[in-house]
Amino acid sequence: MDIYIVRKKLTVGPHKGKEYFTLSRGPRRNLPTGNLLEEIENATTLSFADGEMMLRTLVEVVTEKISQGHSVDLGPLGTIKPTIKATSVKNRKDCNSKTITNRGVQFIARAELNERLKNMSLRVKNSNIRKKKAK
Amino acid sequence: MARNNYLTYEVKPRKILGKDRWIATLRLANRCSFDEIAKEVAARTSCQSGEISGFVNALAYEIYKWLEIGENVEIEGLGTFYPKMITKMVDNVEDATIKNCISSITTGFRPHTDLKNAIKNAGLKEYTKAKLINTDKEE
Repeated sequence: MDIYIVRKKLTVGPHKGKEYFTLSRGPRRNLPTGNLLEEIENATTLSFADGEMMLRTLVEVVTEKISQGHSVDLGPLGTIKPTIKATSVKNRKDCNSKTITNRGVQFIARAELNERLKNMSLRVKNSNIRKKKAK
Repeated sequence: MARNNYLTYEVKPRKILGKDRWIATLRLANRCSFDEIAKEVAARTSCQSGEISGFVNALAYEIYKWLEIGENVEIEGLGTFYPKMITKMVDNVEDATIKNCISSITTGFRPHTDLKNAIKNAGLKEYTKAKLINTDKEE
């Protein structure tokens, strides 16, 4: 994976305004679902239409289960589950659904997937920052 | 939205910054296994659950492949998977190396708007012990 050196300026905290350097993946386009289904069509005996129908139904079932409060095992990918964020209150009687400020989804990847990403090859590409320094 | 689409929360005491507080925490329903999901998808389509498992395995293989080369993969309606880098900052550009700046790389996930909306639109129900004697309340 190509990564780039980027310059960042802190906007808060005691070091506000100070410049730091770090590495970033840079902006990426998402690989659309259609391309993914084409790849599956080429690699297996499944047709594009069958794959599309299976994926649509799978997403439908997963969405339904998550909104019913279940955690869902996605097999080789990992687990997906609903989450909530709430503010704490002093009195028990004040703690109700209104204190729930946000609802979201958490994905926990299979250890195998994270392990493979850990071992991926990285290459720092020359960035504008490096070029400016060289001049 | 179906009536049974709701999240159950439980009010629990917590010590926050040394003070006794009350907070709502999510009470998850049963975990749905991969087999259950495959069977449910099979029941809604003309496919066998084995075919669904095979499809998900093929899908996972493709997702792994694309993530490994640093691409984001979008599953419409579900979300986007991407390689997430946890980085550190350094003072000098010369120190910005892989060894110095990258703490770890894991799998990130951004849920799709449809999935987020489904959860936002689900009802909220408080879990109480009184539920056992049919006095639960739905909000």
